[in-house]
Amino acid sequence: MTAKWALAALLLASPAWGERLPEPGGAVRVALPGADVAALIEAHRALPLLEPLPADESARRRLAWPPLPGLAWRSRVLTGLSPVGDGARWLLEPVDGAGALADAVSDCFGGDGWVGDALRAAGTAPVVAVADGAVTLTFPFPVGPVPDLLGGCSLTDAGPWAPEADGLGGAASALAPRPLLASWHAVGPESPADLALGQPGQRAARSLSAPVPDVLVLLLPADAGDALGLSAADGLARFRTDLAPELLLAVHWGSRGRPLTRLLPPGLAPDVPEPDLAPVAATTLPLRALPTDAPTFPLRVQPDPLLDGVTDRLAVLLRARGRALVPGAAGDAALVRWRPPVRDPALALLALAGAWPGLRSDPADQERLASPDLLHPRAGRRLEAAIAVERGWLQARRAVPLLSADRWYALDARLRDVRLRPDGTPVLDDAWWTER
Amino acid sequence: MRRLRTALVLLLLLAVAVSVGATTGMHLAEIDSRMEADLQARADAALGSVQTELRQAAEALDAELKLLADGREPGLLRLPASTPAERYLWAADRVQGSAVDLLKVLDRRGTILTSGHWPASLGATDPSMPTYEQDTGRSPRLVQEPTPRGSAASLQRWRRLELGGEPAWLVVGYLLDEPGLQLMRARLGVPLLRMCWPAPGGERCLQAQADDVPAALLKRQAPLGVPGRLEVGLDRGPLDALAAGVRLRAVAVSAGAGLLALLAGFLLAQRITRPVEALAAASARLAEGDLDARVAPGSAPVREVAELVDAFNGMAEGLQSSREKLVQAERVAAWQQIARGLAHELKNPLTPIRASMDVIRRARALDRDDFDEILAEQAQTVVDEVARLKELSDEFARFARLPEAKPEPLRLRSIAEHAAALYVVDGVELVIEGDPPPVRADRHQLQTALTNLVKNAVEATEGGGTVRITLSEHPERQRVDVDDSGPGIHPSVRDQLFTPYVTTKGSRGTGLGLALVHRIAAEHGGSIEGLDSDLGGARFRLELPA
Repeated sequence: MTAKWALAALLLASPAWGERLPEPGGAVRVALPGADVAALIEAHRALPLLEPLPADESARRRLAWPPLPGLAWRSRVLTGLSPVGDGARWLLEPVDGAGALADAVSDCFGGDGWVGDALRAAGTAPVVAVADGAVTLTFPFPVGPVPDLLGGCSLTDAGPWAPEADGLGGAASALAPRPLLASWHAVGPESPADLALGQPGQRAARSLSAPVPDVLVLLLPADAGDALGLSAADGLARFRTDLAPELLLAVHWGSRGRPLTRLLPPGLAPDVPEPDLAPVAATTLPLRALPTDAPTFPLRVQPDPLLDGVTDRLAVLLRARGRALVPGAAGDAALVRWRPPVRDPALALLALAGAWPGLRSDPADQERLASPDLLHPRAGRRLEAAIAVERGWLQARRAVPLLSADRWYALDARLRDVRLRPDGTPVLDDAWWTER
Repeated sequence: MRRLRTALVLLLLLAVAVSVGATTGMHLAEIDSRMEADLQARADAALGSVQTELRQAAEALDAELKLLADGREPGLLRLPASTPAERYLWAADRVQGSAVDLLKVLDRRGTILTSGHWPASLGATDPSMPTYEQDTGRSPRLVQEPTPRGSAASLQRWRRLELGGEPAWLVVGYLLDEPGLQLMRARLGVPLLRMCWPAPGGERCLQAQADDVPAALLKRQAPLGVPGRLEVGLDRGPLDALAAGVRLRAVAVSAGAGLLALLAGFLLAQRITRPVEALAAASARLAEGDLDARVAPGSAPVREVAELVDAFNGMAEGLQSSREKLVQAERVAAWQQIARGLAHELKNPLTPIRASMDVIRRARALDRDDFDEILAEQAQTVVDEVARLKELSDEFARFARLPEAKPEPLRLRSIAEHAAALYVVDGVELVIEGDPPPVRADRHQLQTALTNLVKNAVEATEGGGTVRITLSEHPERQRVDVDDSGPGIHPSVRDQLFTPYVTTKGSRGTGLGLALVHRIAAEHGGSIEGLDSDLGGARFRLELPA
C-alpha cells in the first residue's frame, strides 16, 4: 500500500513526467582516444558488481533500480552488502550464484586492475569464501570502502552490451536490462561523433564533466629530482615558476584545469591548505648546445598532446641545467596523466602506488601504505592517512604534481542519460535519444 | 741434373707468373681507373645536387624572411604586446602554414619571444644569439639549433628588426635533422652523406648513413655553399667486388697456368735432361773403361743435345777404336816381349848344351884320356840345362793355364804365415803384422801370389835385411803390403813390373812371378801395384775385395 501511495505521489509531483519518455533504438557514435576505447568497450560488456547511485537520479529511475539498503550504491548483481561487526568481515548477498560472484571478486582483488593494484600496495587481501548462499570477505583489519572496491569489480561478459558487426549492441543478459540504444560504435577522433572527449577550443551543445580532473604528475626515482633542481630549498617553487603550468594549460588545454601543488585533485579530497610555496622570480633558461656525452634525463611519457607540451617545457628546463631529455624505460622518471579511478582518496592513492612501483620502493612509503588507516571504516581516518601518504611522496620528491586537466565530454543535445563512472568512463547503459 | 730440371721448371713458372701478373695488373688498373672515374662522377653529381638543394632552400628562406619582415606581418608586429599564450602559439601556427620549419623571434637579450619548432622554449635564452649579433644573416649559415630532444643542424637566415621600439631578431630556417638528411641521402642513392660546419667550440657535423654502410667507401668533399663542407660516400663495393673477381680469376688462371707450366716444364726438362743424364751415365761408364757405352741416337729432342749425343757417341767410337788398336798393339808388343824373353830363356840353356856337346866332340876327337870324365861332366851339364828347360816350360804352362779359382773364406794371416815359413833365411827378418777378417779367395792361387811376393822380397834383401808383411782391412777391400829393405824397384822396369819375362834377377828369375801375381789379383777382382817402401826397398800392395 505504501509503495502505491508513493508512486501516485511521485507521478503527481514530478514535472518531468510530462516530458518526453525514453524511446528505444538509435545508434551513438563515440570518439575517444584509442587507449580509452578499449576501456570503454570493456566497461559496457562487463556488469559492475556495484554502481554509485547517481546524484541526479530521478525518483522514477530510483524506483526502477533501488539502491542497496543503507548504501549510496545500487547493483544488479547483489541484493545486499553489509559489514559484519567492526567491518573486518563483509557479507555479499548475490542475486544469483554465489560461486560465480566469489570467483569474480577473487579475480578482481588479485587482478591487474586498480582494485588489485590498491590492495597490493596496501599489502592486504581479503579471504573470499562462500557460505549459505552468500559470499564473505574477511580482512585482517576493519575495512570501510568495500563498496568502492567492489565498484571496481565486474562480471565479465555479463553487461548489457555485446559485440556486433559495427560496434556494440544490446545483449540478452539475465542480470542487466537491455539498453535503450540499439547500438554504439567508436569512430575516429576527427569524425563527427555524438559523444566525444572534449578538446581545447571545442564547442559542444552539451558537455559532461568528469567528477575528478586528470592529474599530470611527474613520478621520479630517488634522487632524480636533483636534475631538475628540486632538492634546493626553493627548488620546487623555482621549478613551478619555470614550468609555467598556467601557460601550458592555456596553450594545450584551453585553460581547463589549474596548476596543482597536491596530488589529490579537487573533488577527490576536500580543500586543505596547499604546501606553502613562496613565489620566486622567473630565472634565465639558457638553451645550451649540449655535447653528445652530456648527461641525460630519461623520461617515460604516455602519448598525449598535453603531456607532449609539458614534456617540451621540461626539456627546456633540463636543457638549461645542461641535461638532455631522452626517452625513458621502466624504472625511469615518468610523466603521467593520472585519472583517479575511485572517489575515495586513500584508495585512489593506493591504486596509484600499485601501478607505479617507484612510489612504494622507499621503506617509509611502504610503511605509510601498509597503514590500516588507509582502509579504515571512517572516511576521515582514510583521508588523513591518504594525506600523509601524499605528503611523504611530495616531500621526498617522488611525485611532483604539475597541473590538473579537466576531463569532459561533448554530447549531442538530444542524447540523454549518459552517465560517468567514478573513473570518468562514460556509460551508455541508460542513454536514449530524445529524437532521431 | 735435378737442379737443372728444377731450374727449368722454375724458369717456366716465373715466366708464366710474370706474364699473368702483368696482364692482370694492367686489367685491374684499367678497371680501377674506369670505376673510380664513374664513382667520382656520381659523387660530384650527388654533391652538386645537395648544393643545389641548399641554394634553393636559402632562396626560400630569403623569400620567407622578406615576407615576414618586409610585409610587416601583423602578428609579428603585435608580438611584444601579446600574451605568453599568444606568443607561444604564434610562431608554431606560422610555421605550420609556411615553407620553413624554423621560425623564432628573439629580443635584444636573446630571450625567445616565440619559437615555431620548440614553442615551449618561450622565455629561454637562445645560445645562437652571439652569432645573430655578429652576422647580418644576409647569407645563409648552418647553425646548430636546440630542439626538444637535443639539437639539430639548421640552415638559417635572420634579420634584425624593431618590435615595439626594441631591437629584435627574426630567424627563419630549415631544420636539417638526421631524418631529413636521411631522406636526402636516400634520394641521392648514396650510402653516406655528411655536412660539417664551423661552430663555437669546434666543427659540428650531421651525418646520414644507410643501415648497411659498406665497409669500403669512396668519399668526396665539396664546399656547402655556406660556411662548411659537404661529404658524400659512395659504395666502392661493386668496384672492389669486380676487382676481387678479376683477381680471383687471375689467381685461378695463374694457378692453372702454373700447373700447366709445371707440367710442361717437367716434361720439357725430362726431355732435355734425359739425354743429358744418359750422356752423363755413358761418360761415367766410359770413364770406368766401358768403351761400349753409348747414348741412343735420336733420344734427344733438342737439336743441340742431339748433336752433343752424336758427338759423344763419335768420341766413344773413336776411343773404343783407339783402345782396340792400342790393345792389339800392346798384345803384339807383349807377345813380342814374351817371345823375346822365351827365346832368351830358351837360348840360355841351349848355349851350355851346345858348348858341352862341343867339348864332348872335341874330347872325342882328341881322344882324351879323361873323356869319360869329360863326358860325364858335360852330360850332367846337358841334363841340368834340360831340366831347366823343363822348369821353364812348367812355369810357362802355369802362367798360361791358371786353373779356375775356387773362392773360400781364407784368413790372410795364416796364408801369409805359410808363405813366410817357406822363406826363412838367416839374416832376413820376416815380420807379419795385422790380422784382418777372412777374405774370399782361391787358397792355392792366393798362396801362390803371396809366396811369389815373399820370395821376391826375401831375394831382394840378398840375405840380409827385413821383410814385412802388413795385413789390413779397408772399406770394401783388404790389403796385403809386402815390404822389403832391398834396393827397391829399378826405374827401368817400374812400368813393366807385371809383364811376363821381365826380371831384374837375371838367370835366377823366370820373369813370370809378378805377372802371375797380377793375373791372380785380376782373377779375384783385386789389384797389385809396386811402390816404394818405408823400409827403403820395394813395396808390393795386393788388394782383394772384402
